Amino acid sequence: MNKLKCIKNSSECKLILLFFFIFLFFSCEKESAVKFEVSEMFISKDSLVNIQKNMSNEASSYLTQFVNSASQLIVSAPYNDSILYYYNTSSQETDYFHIPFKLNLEYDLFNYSEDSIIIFHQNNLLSYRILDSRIDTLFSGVLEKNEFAKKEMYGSGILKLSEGYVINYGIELPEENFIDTTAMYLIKNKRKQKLLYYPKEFENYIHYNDLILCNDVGNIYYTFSTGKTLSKFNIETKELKQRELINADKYLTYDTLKFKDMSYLVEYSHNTKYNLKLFEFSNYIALITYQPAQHNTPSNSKWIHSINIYDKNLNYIDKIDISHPVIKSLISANEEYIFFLYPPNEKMYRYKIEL
Amino acid sequence: MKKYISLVIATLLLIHCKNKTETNKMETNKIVISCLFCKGCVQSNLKYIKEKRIDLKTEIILDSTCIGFKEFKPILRDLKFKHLPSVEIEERYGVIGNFILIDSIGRRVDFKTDMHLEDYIK
Repeated sequence: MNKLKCIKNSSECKLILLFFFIFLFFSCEKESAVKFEVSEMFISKDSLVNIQKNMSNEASSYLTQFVNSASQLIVSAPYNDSILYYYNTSSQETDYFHIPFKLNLEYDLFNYSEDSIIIFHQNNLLSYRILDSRIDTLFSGVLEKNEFAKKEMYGSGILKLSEGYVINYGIELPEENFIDTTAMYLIKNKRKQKLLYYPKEFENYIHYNDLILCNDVGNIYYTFSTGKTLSKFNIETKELKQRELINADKYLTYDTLKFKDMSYLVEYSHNTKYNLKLFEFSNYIALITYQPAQHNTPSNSKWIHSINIYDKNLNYIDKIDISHPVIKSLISANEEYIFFLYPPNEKMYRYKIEL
Repeated sequence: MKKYISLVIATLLLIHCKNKTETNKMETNKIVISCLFCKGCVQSNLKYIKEKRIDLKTEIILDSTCIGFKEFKPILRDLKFKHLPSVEIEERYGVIGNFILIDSIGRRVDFKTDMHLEDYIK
């Protein structure tokens, strides 16, 4: 009894109580709503030499696209005006094929899939079948006068839906050479219709208004590079649902009055948060973002890449911060996984996420 | 008489020196160019520098991205310029959107996309 009393009054007792409360605090802390598993896969560097050559030149990095399907993964990079290069990770083999016309790498849009490429070329939407080089014209005369196809920095500019294709475009104003307003065309059953208009805050400036989108049956989910909202648009009913993204204040609002000041643009572009990719899964939407980890300058930039999980009603669930290096043009997903390909260290990081 | 002559000479010298200082003030000493963010903004001005041989009287400093552009190679071929890595340019001159002029007394002009070199250097 005396011994117990002794403990009760001693400083050890206080320490035990403190540890007890710390333990209680951590055990009561909310468990993450998202479970994820990352696996690292080896990718042969030799096979990726040509792709790396493309990526070493910053100006041509946008030409590289990375496509994944359930059975194979293709990394494609057009490295001159008529040859497309691809790499299959399942077989670890590389191959080339020729497109029977000259591509304009600055203006043409590409959307690769396992067996075909959808190409927007000279105002025509074409389907190129890889197996037998057959070309079908899906639609002629997609754009009107003063319209131009908008190439996304890290996307294809063409979204393939089960029932058609979405093309992202802008309208050029002759005096200023800037976009007045932009929208998407839906090409379906040999007909086209205007789908959506860009929000007001993106009018009159061309930087960082890239459209980022994905789709499931009947719906298009979209946001913009520095957009603060996530939207869900039903193609049939035209119903539009919007929610503010988590930490929306980190997406800086661009002062369009300063659009001629390049140093403002540099400061802005190094210190705003960006949306990079959207992927749709059976029960959630994954939004890949990156944001500054400090006050960035061109020679000293640190970024945090994250996978943000939203449910299909656009409610935020959780996020995963990525600890490995990321090449922005080499992110892809299939029905199960999100992939980050990183050729410099011969790795591909594969994320499996469960709610 | 001697005094008058001395006075006139002194006055003339003073005016000459003053004019020279004014001229120096207007002289462009350095043009520092970064092509990291606006290749197009720089291209036409680089052509102007070459055409008017501004490189012979002004120090032209280019960052690594300018050197790397294939389209710039014909312009840069006979141009007198100094190459500095982008990091070093940022350390010395801060963040440059496209290019800056620094005159002999250190005044700096940051060029906007609608400004033209020909309005500053004839």
